Amino acid sequence: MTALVAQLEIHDRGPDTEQSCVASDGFCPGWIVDHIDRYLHPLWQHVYLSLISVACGFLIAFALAVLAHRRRWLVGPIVGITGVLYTLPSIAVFFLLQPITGRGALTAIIALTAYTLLILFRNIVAGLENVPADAVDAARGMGLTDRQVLWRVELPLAVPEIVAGLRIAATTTVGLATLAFFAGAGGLGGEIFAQITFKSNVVVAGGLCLALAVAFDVALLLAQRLLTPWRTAGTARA
Amino acid sequence: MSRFGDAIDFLLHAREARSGGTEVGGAQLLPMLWTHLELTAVSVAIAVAVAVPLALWLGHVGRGELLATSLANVGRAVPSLALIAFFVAYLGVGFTNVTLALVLLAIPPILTNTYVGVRQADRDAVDAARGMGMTGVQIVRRVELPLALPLICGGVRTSVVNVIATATIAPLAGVVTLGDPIIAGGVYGEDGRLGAAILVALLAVAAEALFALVQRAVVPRGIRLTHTPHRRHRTMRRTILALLALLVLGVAAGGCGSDDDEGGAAGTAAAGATDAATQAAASSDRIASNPDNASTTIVVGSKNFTEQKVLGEIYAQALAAAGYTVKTELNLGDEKTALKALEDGQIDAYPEYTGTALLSFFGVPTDELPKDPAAAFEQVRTRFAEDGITALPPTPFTSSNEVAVTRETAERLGLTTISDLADHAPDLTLYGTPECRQRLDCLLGLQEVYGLDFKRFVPVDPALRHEVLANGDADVSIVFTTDPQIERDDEVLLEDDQGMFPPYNSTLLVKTSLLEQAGPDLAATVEAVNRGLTDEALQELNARVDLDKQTPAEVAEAYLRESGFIE
Repeated sequence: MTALVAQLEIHDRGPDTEQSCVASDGFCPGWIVDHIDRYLHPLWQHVYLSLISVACGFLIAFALAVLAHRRRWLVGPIVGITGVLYTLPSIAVFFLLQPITGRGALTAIIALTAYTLLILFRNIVAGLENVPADAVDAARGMGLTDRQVLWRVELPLAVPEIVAGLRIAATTTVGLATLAFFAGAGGLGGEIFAQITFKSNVVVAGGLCLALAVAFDVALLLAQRLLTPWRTAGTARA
Repeated sequence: MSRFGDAIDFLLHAREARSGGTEVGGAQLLPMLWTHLELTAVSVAIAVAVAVPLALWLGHVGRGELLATSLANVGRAVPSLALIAFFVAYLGVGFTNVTLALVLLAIPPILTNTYVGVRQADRDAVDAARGMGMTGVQIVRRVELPLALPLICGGVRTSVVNVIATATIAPLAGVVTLGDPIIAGGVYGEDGRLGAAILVALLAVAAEALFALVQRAVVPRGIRLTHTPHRRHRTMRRTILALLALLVLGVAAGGCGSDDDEGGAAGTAAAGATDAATQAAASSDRIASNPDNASTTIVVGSKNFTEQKVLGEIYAQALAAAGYTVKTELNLGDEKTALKALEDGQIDAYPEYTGTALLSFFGVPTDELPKDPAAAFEQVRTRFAEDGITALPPTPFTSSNEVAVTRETAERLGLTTISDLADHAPDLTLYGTPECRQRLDCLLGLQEVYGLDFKRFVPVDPALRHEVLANGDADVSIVFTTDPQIERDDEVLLEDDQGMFPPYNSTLLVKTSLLEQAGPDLAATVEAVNRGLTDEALQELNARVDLDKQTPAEVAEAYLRESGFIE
């Protein structure tokens, strides 16, 4: 029989400061700087979950809103149904979906998408509704078809309200995606949960969530500026 | 769909816990429901008491618009999990701390809505009131507040629904709400998990509907005409209809009957791999990669605490080095959850402690527990073999449950053995994992073997087992022998003078069918890496995770490298 060639190195954990800060679950800037890379993959998962969910939610809500814009009676039922989806706690939905869709990103994305629908639908509908009737009449007078009126007049004018809805949906989704690890989809929540007593970890992972929400918010604001050049021009003159 | 039926059944009828002992489900959910509601009510009440007067004043004097509006945005972006975690990390666990976190969560919607409600109050009405000679306080009380009331209720409604949702993760911080079956899983089973999720969902929808009604009722009679009541009516009706639809769906799913197909009797056990193992291990410590193994996929699982994750990673990486295709499913939950995952084929292997298997799986009574590690393993191996599971030879290290107190408590009460707790237990609070309640090597054993009757038992996530001692929440906590925090926090382990704990060597449980398919390298590799897993080594490996904050994957790789198993 051979004995082990090499042995596991037993570290002496003396009371030196940096070590004891980490060992005692403290807030340790040095550790954070050295270990920031461990958060990159969960951050990417978080970005992925949030982006896909908001994008899917937007496509669905947009289609529903355009449909309901011409058929007003649809607004009530759609708000009712998406309202219930919005009320269901996402952590419950993550588990309710698992018997059907299993564990993984798909389950998380379905739940997060469902959550965004009400916010987005309401804002898109409100945006379309608030378009000045004069503008629509003028467009019709110029001979634009219904479809042209929608795409060339109503939607551009509704952009501010649509973007406002997207901003709420995006920040909320980033927050809720911290629970996606319960559905087996990873994300920054998994990191928080993995070492919930370690202050440095909680602060970094939680902080990254906040930063991500802010980044999405700023990005959407910038997008709005680019999409509505006439508004910035107007304010510049005023 | 029968899973939903079983979940509904869990809600309606109590049943024996999967680990035996107590009952779960049915009426046993009431205390959790109560805690959930209590937590929600207290948090929202405090939030209302803080936010409404503040926002009324800000709105009345027309200041702080930026605060009121940006608070709402920031509030939305703060993840509830991060908020709870922040409070756990900085203030510790318990009802008060969770309440505080939830108050912070509940304030923004109420504050913003109240502010907007006051600002939107008809300026003419306010001017008229002033003209009538009302004082500032009178204007707020008789004009602005009534006019803002519907919006304030809307804010409260949002907060209540948010808080109900977030209270679901309160068990992470030691408050047993309806989230316990969801988060603790194992004891309650999958039905419990799903059942509790349904209950939380219904609770949120019910609260939403209730507050929608209240919101409608508080609209001042004077301005009711300006609203369009029939539309509200219809929305209400739709919400109730949707609720009913959900119920019908659930009941229908329940009616679909129970067509559970219980996994059939598995093939007989055949464990002849041990000879090959010793041969392979004798030749060299370096794990050789065998290309033939690539066609075998092994999913390695683990339970939900540090040592398990490290062991899971060690086996996964070692087997990968031997050429197998390896996947991991670490952090599964407690022992019942892990065993079920193995039986169901979700995983192919996971490390389990001989003592845990004897007590939790096979219900061996305390007076029949083997004291000798080899005898304990032999018994476990024979029992598992009947179920088509092979228990591979155990590790040298043993890591038992331990009854821990702070040095201060030990000295104050003169405690050295578990029996010494007898006189003091009625004044002491015990903390342990949720499954502790049903385990003979935990609360159940302390009650039955030692006759201890603690003042209170509080279930917490295993990650918090030392935290609760250090911050004074727990008088007594259940910890593990190989925990490095015992030394860090200068904890005292009480001696098991009645022999409640059997040996706890770790054995990798593998599906026998997979073992046969995988060839001799699997068992040989596991046996080789096991030899270095001594008490000392495990304390070091756990310390690298719990104290040095390395990840289990990094620590496992370092173990394999430092011991010469991989380059």
